Amino acid sequence: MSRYSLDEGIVLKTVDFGEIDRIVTLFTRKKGKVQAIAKGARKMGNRFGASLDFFSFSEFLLYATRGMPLIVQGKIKKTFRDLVRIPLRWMAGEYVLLLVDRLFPFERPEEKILEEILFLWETFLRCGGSIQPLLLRFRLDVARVLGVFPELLECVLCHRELHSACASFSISLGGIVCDTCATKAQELSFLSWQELQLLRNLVDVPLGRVVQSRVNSQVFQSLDMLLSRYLSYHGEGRVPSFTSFAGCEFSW
Amino acid sequence: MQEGYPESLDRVIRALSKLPGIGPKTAQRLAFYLVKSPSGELEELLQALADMRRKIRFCARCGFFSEEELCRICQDTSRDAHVLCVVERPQDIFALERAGFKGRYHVLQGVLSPLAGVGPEHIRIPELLKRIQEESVREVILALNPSVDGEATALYLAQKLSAFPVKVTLIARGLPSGGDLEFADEVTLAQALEGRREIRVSLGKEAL
Ligand SMILES: [Zn+2]
Ligand SMILES: [Zn+2]
Repeated sequence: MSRYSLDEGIVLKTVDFGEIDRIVTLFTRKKGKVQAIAKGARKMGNRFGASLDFFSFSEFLLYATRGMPLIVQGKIKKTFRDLVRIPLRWMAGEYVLLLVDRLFPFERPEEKILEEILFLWETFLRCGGSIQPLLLRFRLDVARVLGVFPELLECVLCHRELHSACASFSISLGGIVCDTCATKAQELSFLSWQELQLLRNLVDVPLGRVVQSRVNSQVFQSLDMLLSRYLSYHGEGRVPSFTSFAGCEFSW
Repeated sequence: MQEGYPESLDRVIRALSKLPGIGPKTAQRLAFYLVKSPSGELEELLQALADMRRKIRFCARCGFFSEEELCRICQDTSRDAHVLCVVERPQDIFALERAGFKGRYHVLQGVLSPLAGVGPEHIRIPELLKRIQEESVREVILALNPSVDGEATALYLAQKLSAFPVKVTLIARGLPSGGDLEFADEVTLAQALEGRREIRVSLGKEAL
């Protein structure tokens, strides 16, 4: 079998290595999250160009070694680099990278998530509306592919469907808890009817229409926090909420 | 302790392997060399490290390496104080000096990076804004790395600096010297197009 392989994907993270090299964490179609070495990547005018920077979707030629594979070549297929022009969207664009880097194990391909990131970046670039619904939906989709999608329809304890009224949400039990069962469960988060409805809607609508959903900033902050805590509990590593990632001191 | 080395040797190996770009193998090689090094050589290295530790600090004004309150560049009155070049790291200054830049510098000590948790208050942006108010700067050249975060930082700074009566420029991005245009990637080429400049032709008689 050839030691060369072609794959395509994006860069999650890079770390300088040695004098002129970089260790790059990629998220690729065939391999998922994978670390590789890019020789000479710190030199100006190197053969990788911007393919090893954030917001590039590229084709990579990899060479297998006994240790980390080498990135032999990187060719940009599409760039979303103009995200840097809109500070909040630059941060949102990097936030999804952090989620994938921290929550997914190595070598587990998740094409749907890769496609969704590309869709998100495209939308962050082109769409004038609010990006908040997409940031919530993305985390629900991440939970789904990680196999930890929260129960949003019925009480996780008595399995009664919840049709109206506020609910409680249990991070450890993985879903909503009705008022009757709430006394039996511990460490519950409050979920207003409006918030629960929004979560249900975000899951139901096609990805392309998520951006039309309306989220007021208070609801966003509360769900932003809840979903990050939820993923931190069930995923591989801890993730901050977008609000704290973007930092309140980042006043533009 | 690894592979049964005496403890003192093992400590040196572990300390060396914490240095950037040095893995355990290289650290071992360096440590073995130091053990056998000719007399005087190791002492000289120890003395040099101790001296550096004692003397080197960052220039109070620009953030470059210095042995005094102000670095040699800030002290040099022949340099153009109207032009301030903003860089990420002190070592970038060496590259710009080699390129013949004659103004002054400001080292940010990093760029904004949400992924690394670096916000405007973590790098020397407040110091930069203070210098613009206090010094007679007319042009600020942003010489940051052409990375996504470098560019976002440049845009952030340009926005902050727009409140002051200074011209803000960004060093040209685009094609490196050498190589063929057909092989340039789309990001590089787009930046080269954006950073294009007018060619001023002055044909003297001798040129004809
Ligand atoms: Zn119940
Ligand atoms: Zn100085």
